[in-house]
Amino acid sequence: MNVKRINIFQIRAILITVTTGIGLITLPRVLAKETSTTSWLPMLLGLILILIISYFILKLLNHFPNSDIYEISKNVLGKYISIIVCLLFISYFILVSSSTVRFTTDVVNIWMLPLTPMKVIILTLLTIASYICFKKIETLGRFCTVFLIFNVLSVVLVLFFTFPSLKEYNLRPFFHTNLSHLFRSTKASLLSLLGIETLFIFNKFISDKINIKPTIYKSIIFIGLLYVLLVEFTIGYFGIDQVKVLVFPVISLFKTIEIRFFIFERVELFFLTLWLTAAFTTISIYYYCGFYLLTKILPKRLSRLVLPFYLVITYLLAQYPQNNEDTIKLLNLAGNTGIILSTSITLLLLIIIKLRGANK
Amino acid sequence: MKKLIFLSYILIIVFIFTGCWDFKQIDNYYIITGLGIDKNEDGEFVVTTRIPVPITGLQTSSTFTTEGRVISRRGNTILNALQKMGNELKKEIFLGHLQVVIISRDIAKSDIERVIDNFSRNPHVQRKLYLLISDKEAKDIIGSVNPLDVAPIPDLANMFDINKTNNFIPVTLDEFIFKYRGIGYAPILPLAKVNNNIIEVNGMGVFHDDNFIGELNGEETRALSLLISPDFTSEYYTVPGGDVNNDEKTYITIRTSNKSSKIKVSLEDSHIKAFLTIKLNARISEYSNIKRNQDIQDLYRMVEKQLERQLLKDLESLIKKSKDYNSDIFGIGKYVRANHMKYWDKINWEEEYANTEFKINIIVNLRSASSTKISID
Repeated sequence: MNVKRINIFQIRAILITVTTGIGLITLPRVLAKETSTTSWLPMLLGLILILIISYFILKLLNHFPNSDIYEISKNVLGKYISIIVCLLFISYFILVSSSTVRFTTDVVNIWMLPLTPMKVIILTLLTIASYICFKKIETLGRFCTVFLIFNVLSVVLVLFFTFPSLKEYNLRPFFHTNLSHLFRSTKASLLSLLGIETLFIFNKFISDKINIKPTIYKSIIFIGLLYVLLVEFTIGYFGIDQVKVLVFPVISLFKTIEIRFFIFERVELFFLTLWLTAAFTTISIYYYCGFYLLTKILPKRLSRLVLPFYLVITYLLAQYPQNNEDTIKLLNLAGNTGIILSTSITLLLLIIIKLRGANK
Repeated sequence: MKKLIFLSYILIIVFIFTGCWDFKQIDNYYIITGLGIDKNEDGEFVVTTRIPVPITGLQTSSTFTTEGRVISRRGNTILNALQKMGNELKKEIFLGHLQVVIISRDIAKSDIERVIDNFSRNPHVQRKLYLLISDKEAKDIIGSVNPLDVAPIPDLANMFDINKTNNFIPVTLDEFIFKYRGIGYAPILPLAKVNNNIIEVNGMGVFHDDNFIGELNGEETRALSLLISPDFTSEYYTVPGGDVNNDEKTYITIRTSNKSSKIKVSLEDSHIKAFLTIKLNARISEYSNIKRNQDIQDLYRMVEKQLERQLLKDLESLIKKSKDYNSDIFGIGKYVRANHMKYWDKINWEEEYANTEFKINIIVNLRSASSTKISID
């Protein structure tokens, strides 16, 4: 069997880069709107929930260490239902990559290139992602390893520059919320931490199966804690009222920070460049996942020909939202689909496996 | 062959990626540094700016000199007016290097939201630009020309950057928006006026309920500055010296350093008490009344007392004024909100502020008398 493999560092890079993404720049506002100064709590709850989801996904993958989601569901549910499962996942991956690419384009249009047509930016991003699809999984792994440092740096930069001007009175009171707000806020934080479902594809290729569990938990906890700090620091810097009205609080934060002896006058552009790598890795990983599953369910000779169609579908869907609000709705839809899909399919498969095991 | 294909690839890429929709030819823009905004009787904005005259050839001068043309246009929004201006000037106006925005008092009284909105929404505008309120028309300030000023607006921005004269507290767009949009602070803005074509910044305008309500003079501003930005308060204080019983008039100039301030809030019987603590080190810089055999410790004690008394007086009058305006310029509200959320939810701080009780504690620590002995043994 000639399967290219990725090592433990690469899977860690993939997991971290797929998780840090576009949510980064809007998350503080989304959480602050619901839970104001208590926003650290839903972020932590989101982290715990995502760890529970990862536990189940890893448990399922433990039964089939050398299979992807298509092969697992084929094994458990039979060929035809497995194709349906795959189609669900493919549509989810297309939804995520197109809404993410659209959101990225919107941000680039507002902050960096106001006159460049949206189509050009979307097409540029998707073409590069398509190039990665042509290559094998190893390329994606290396690509993410290279960009990992920029992804993490974009968050660390925020923490580093806001730390000196944190105001204690902006962070207090620590507990001031109610359950319904907390619930909505936790859901939002859960969406921002999603990314573990890509393991359904990548698990098959990991060379070192023994160390996989601690690596994954560590990566998720790392990102989760980084996000908690990000949210708290942004609120501590701006104050709750200010965060609520800023569409992209983290970019605005860089606009207000004055860094002496820094070459760029507009520091936010420097941050946006880093953030763009975070967004792009997210796009390309989801885009790759969708394409991979597509080649799985199609006959082998069609697998390469299908890429242009795949690109066009993603491109058209990215064109669909009329405005910024629509894009955010689409993103939320994608996130909700992701949570429901990955938890329900995982649990379904686990239950069936359990029942069969009992029967035997 | 492979090399050839590779090279042609590179060539193609070089040609494809040269063009960009967002390139900006600097020749096609007027880069302005200051903007004055007034309002006319119809409620329209009158936007004034100084257009730099491009200098060619051997003339050595910056583009921001007094040579600039002053131009104003009306418009329903600021951008509308700027657009009209751009059309007539044949070039677009670029706001990316805007340093100072001067708002007329009329706008500050009722319409400041319309101004703030434009600048906070535009990603090009730097948020560290300084905001000012003009005494009369903002147009006069932008238009003032005198031999002292080489470049009035950049000079003004520079003065704010250095911030040492201390009859005002520089406020950037950012800081203003923080307080304006936030709850529990009242925003303040420095006041500017033109005297004999010389721009003078003195005192602060105070806001209540997001509208300009009154002003603080230079002395009061200094007291406020000591409390909210102690590091930037000017160093020298002059207090009356000598014994109180003595009739002769002497003055002592004291240099202060290591200033720090602290605000604490406590809630007693549904009533807010604010504790303001100011700590500073001082040394005597000028004192000509040298006497024989004077006890130095006594003298130091006396000077400390005098300075404390002076600061207390300034602060008390400032607090009284802020209560008259009912404007929380100290930002007591943000502490109340952080520490007493339940109480905060029940009250309307804008109304409640005037009932706050203040306790002031000033600690002066006199360290030395600089390099000359203060009493002759």
